[in-house]
Amino acid sequence: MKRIVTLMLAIMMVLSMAAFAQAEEPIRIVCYTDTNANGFPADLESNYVYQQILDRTGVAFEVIYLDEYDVALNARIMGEEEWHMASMKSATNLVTYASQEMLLPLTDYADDLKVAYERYGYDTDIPSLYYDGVQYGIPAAKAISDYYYLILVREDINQKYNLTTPTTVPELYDYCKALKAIDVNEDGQDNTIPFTGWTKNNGFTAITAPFGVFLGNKVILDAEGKASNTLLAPRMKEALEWVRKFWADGLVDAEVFTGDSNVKANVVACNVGVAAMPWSNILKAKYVEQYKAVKPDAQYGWIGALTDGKGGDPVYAIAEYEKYTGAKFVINEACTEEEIEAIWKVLRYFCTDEGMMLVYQGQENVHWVYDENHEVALTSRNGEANFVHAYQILGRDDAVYLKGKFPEAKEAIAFGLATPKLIVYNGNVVCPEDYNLADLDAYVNEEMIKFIKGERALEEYDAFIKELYDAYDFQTWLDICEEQLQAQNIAK
Amino acid sequence: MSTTRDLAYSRLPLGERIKRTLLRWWPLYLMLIPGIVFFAVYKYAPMGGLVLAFKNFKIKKGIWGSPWVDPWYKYFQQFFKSPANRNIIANTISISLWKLFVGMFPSLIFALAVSECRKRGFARIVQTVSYLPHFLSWVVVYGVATAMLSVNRGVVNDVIKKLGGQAIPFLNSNEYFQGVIIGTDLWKGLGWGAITYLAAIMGIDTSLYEAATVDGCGRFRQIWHITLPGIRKIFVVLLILKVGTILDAGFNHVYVFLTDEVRSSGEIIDTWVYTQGIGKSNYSLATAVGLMKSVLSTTLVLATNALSRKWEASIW
Repeated sequence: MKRIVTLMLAIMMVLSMAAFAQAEEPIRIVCYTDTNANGFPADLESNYVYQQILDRTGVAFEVIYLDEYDVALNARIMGEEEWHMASMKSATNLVTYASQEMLLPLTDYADDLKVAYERYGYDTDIPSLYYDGVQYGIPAAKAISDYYYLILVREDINQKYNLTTPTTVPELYDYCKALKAIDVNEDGQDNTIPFTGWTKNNGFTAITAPFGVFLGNKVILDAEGKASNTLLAPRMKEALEWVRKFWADGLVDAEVFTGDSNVKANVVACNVGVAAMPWSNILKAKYVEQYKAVKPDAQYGWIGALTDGKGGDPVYAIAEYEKYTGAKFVINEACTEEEIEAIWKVLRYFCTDEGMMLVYQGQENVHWVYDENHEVALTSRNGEANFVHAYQILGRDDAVYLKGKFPEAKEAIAFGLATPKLIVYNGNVVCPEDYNLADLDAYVNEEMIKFIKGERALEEYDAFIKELYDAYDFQTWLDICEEQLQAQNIAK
Repeated sequence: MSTTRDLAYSRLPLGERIKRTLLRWWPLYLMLIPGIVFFAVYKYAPMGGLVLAFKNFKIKKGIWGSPWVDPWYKYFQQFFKSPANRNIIANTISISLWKLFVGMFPSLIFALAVSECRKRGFARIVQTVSYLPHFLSWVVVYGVATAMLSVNRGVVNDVIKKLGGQAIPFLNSNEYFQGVIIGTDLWKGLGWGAITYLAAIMGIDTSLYEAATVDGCGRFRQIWHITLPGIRKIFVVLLILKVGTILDAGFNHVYVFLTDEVRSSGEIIDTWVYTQGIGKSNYSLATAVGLMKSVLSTTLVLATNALSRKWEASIW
């Protein structure tokens, strides 16, 4: 009897072990991202992107968005929380982590990277992916967010009051003056904001870019092709003079520096005349619906880049040099061989037609279909795919992505793409650890705001530049930029 | 008799004295253990991490494995060499001193007013309503401040504009920023700050007031001669505690209200450390500044305590 019981117990043990082996957990990969995606499913069960990746690759690929990314990521790393991949917000971040030997060198993974290069078509010689001659960053195809900016105007107001849209900065000034006298949202209150702009100083490029100026620390090439800085741009004072004039005459939103949500709230409330901002924040169908609910006859259209009024070329907004890629991901050096293989498995999946379209538009025949011309057409359930861009680890081809995703803004996107931009090169410069760029940027931003608001006299601009040299070692920063841009054969 | 026993006790060896004390008061010492453990684990043990201020910290190597920094004062020097430091220190002290002032005197006056209110029911309602803002987070307070003070949509500016005036950029101007910080601090903390004073006032012997009334003292005389001396000690204790936080200036509060526009009047040590130290993974710098702040705060507390001995109201 004892023998039978022992035998039965042994059989049960073997069977349960076999069952356990069969139910082996998939390899879990935790990937932190700074891409905020609306509508992210609350749990992994209902996250169909996660489920499809799991189904196709056998990898539990969890993408986790962190608010206040740099601080949150550091806190998690310090807290020794599990992580396998993380996005780097800037080249400086990559340097910080790579110098601490926390990142996996990608030297041995050239073949895996090649698959991604061929699929997404981007350059490999991007300096911001490297530290000390070793590649650590997985490049991402460059999103064309730089080209999102448009100068939006109220077409309904132009028509009603017979206003001519401006083509030069002086004309924009007169146009805004005319708007100031109009109650653009017709609520009977004196609350018209003639001009507002996105992301602090970016909005002002509608006024300053025609002068070759950005009101901040941006690396540019001068007329001779040498590395320079927008703060040293020859027409800086002229551009600042105009911005100050707009501000002094009450033509600019007094709370323009408060934040983008404030700008958007005003635009949706229809009390704005001109808004220099990304199309994506007002021309998407859902936002059109919002502002139409406030004022049904309101209509935002766009105008071309302005000129300086003195024969110069039209220019608007800034754009990073095309070789710079934005968001890119790195792999934790502490990953095991299995985990590294799992990561490449997922990335290779993103290089397939199915994987790429999954992170572009969601699931085929659920969130999108191919129409008779083999063009992507969205289904009524496409709203459920609002979050999928958080999985665009290898970036995206915006020309394909945006056309399918936002058909209502096709013309606006094409117009934004064609608008001439002020090209900057900050993405090509990796700031060394021992230079305090954050202090310099913070001071420049503070003082620029004072110049714009008239809290500091324009005559003090040269003194301000001298302060940068004396107190913030500006020359070192200029030298760093020059050296790196020359090494990349960008600057003379 | 008792003196003889004390004398005999004091002549015992130290070990014997400790043993006798523990045996005699063991229930109290037993109750003390959780407190000691708490402070040892959460307050004193983490102080070992202060060594980070002198190390070139590498996350992978950990605190103890990271190399020592050369020179040892590198991160202190980095803070003092930052061109922004003068402004940051000035802002921190200015905001802290104002917060200390408005955190103490208005609450004291409010507590006196509530305690003098004859209608107790009304006094209780006022007291309850006044300390409700204490439970709001600074994010919510910022929302309230925006609704009230925003140039475009604020109630206050709406009124000013309707009266024919120019909108005032309360939240976006260096001129007003510290005022807004102090004002919101006052609004949030007035009622809560008064609770301690009210408790102290309640503890004053009522017969003193009765005797003063018999002697012909009016309300103000009673406040001056009985109430204020009665709460003097608690006032000084609170002052000493607040002086210890003078280099803090309230990170959460300031950070929520801070924008590029008001950075020159609003950046304080903690917000700078947050962006420079934690945001840029420079933990050693953050620790160095934190250590410096702690040393200065402790010095200030000791100095204030020594000073307050003159009024016989020191903590120790």
